[in-house]
Amino acid sequence: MSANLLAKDYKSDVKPIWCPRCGDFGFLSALYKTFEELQIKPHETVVVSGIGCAGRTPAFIKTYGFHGAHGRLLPIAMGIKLANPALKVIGVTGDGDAFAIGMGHFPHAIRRNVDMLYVVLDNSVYGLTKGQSSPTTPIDHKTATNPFGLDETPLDPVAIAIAAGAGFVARIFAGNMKEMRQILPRAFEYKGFAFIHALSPCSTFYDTFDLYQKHTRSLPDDYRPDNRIKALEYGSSKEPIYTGIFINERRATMDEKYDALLASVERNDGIRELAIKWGQ
Amino acid sequence: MANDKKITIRIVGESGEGIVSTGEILSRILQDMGQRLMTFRTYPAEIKGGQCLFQLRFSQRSLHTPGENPEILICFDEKSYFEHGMAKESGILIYNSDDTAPESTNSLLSIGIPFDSIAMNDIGNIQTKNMIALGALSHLLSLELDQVENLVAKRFAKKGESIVQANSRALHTGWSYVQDNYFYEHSGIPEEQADEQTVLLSGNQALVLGALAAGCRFYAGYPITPASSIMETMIRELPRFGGLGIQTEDEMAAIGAVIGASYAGEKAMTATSGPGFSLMQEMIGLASMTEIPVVIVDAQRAGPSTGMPTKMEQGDLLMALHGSHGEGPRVVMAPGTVEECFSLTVAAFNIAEKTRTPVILLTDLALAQRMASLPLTLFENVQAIDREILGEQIDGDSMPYSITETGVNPMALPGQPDGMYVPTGLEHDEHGHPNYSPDMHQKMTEKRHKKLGLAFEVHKGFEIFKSDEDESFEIGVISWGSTEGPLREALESLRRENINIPLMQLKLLNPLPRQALFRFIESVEKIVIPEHNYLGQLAGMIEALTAKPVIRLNKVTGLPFNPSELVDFIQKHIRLVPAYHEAV
Repeated sequence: MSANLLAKDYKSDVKPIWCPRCGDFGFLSALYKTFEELQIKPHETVVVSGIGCAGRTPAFIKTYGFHGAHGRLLPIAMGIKLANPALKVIGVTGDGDAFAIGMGHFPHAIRRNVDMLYVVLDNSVYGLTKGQSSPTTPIDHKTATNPFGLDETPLDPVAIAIAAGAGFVARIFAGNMKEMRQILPRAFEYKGFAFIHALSPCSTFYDTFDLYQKHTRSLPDDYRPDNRIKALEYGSSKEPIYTGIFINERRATMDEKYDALLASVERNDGIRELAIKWGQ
Repeated sequence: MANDKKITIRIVGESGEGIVSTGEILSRILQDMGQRLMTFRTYPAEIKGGQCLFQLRFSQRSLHTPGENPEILICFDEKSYFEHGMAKESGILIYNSDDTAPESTNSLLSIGIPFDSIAMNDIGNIQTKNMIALGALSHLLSLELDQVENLVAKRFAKKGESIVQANSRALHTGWSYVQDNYFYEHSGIPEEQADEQTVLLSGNQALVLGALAAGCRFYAGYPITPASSIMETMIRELPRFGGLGIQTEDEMAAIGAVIGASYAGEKAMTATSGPGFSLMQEMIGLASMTEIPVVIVDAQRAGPSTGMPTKMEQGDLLMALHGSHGEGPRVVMAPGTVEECFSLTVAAFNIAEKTRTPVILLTDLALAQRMASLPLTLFENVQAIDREILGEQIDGDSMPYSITETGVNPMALPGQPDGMYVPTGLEHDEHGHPNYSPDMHQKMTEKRHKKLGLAFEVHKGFEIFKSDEDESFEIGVISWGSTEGPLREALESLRRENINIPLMQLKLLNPLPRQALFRFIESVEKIVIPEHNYLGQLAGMIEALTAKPVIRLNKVTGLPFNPSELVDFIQKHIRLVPAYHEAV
């Protein structure tokens, strides 16, 4: 295990099920390269996912993983991290899994500050079930389940994460390898709940590749990720759509707090003594 | 020689009048005196208002139920008096003479105490009514008033010195009121026979001790009656055992965190009641499919929907057995007593670890909140089984879901260098890779089901209570869960009339101990199954398995069976109905 691991060493035998030109390939490639750069230990890493195209990610990576149920990535990831804080936990899933069925868990993972990286590959459509609307589908886009183009305001995941108090919030575009390679290592090394909103176009049902090429822009060089109001302003901008790290603040994590608690409590005296304490 | 006398005391009043604390303090004192206890409570879902009832029964021998008609009845108001009737003819009634004026009672002794005026005028605190009652009770039972006073002071110490003093005055006033105004023949409480040490614990407390003894080190839950006290206690105690408990945002998160923690190597549990258990169903299938051991407690309450949150029922058996889509094998167990809330919880973890399968423990509200005296030896020498972990000797090519003889594979834990795998809810091959080939689903479904048989290596799954001499019977009773106590008491009283009826208490509902079950059914002409659900959920299963009709007794009042109603029902079916031809 001491030999230097290359990006290809992190690839599993399972071939991705994604369509050609899917944005998720770009992200996965950046992820392998980041693993190589940081020499991530495969057996100490767990990639957790939900359901959907992006949810298949763990199968393609040679680390531990967990391909759970629809919308339940965050609780499963939290359980893993709390049971063994030495593990590096990475959640990878899509916008439907994260912001529709699984949205209830998002602010709670943030407020607990579970130490994990949470990447949501957002293509603004349900791909695996063939083209239905997602919580981030823009108003003007007709889909299989919105044939009349009725307005449902899309959610802004970055704004929500910033408002909920996440310590690390970033946006990347799967078509911008250079920037992904800059941001991913910093998210990996962040201690706490790191959220990455990854714009990752669906080449089959909603190809936004050119759109994002045209409208995304990196945060200005002088942007400092320490001001939540500024972060909201840049994070929710629609023109341009900013990519980069909006917020990067260190706070005590859930496992650090529990470690401190475990170090401070008196150890038990055994089951029999507890029974006597309660029952006599 | 232990005295066989059993005394039942019932305290009834408005919720918020301190009914439960009075009952608990009294229980604690009697426990200290070496008595065996069993308690029962029923109360409204609201914090204040509505009727609250606490009943306790004590004896020098173990009890099966918290009793029926009380020997001593205390009513704080007229409504309680009319709704809960008289004490036994040989019993004692204590009523609130400020509020109630019984014209005539059939009790041996009626004691009217003006609770309100004493509390207001003499003590200056209306909240002390229950302490006046406790003082009166202490006189009737010849308790050491000092001891009662100490326990009360300890319990209310946090509320401040003035409350403690008011309570003490109220206790003395209640004691003196009976002393000064009434004469009765005193039988007192027999002295302790120091045979074995006992502790007085609730079903939920026993369950928590079982989980801790089995090695549970992670708990996640969401507040719900009557399972919340399991969560509160686990969160409080786990850090002292090197583990931790958390309150999650909902029940899906709770079971998700439990599955995650178990995957990462901790024995993990969640506890809930019907509504939360409904929400967990999909995740039970995930645990079954990924073969992650978890323990899920469903402390059943009356449903459907929000139902009656503070009333018991046994309506979730079919959900426990079949909930979640597809065929996700799981083990289902049901403790019948507070003692089994401990021992079956240990068994549940042992089975979960041994079989890498979710185990569901079905208790109910009455059992969760009932207190009973348990022998202290129960908590000694507990055998905990740990899952088999992928060993060093197995190389990197080991398969996490190999088809083995028992169906079980050693588990790799994240952090182990050679065990990397990705559990998935998709059907998968022996490597854990998604695979939908027809053969694979057939083989893997079989593998997952095959493991359940190992449960019997941990627990035989049933217990039979019968007289030794007889081999065949006209009637046999089958039961599950907390109907065990009232049934045993009912059948013991029938036995005193030379009517021998065997009882088979099922502790494993899945897998069912089929051989023993069939043998039992062969030995009886008629099968009676009393259940706290409307359809007869177990009865239907037994009928489907044996093609024999079952005589059902279904009570869904939210209250447990009384032994006497079981006796009446069973007697009605003795030689009065043709065998196998009548379902009630």
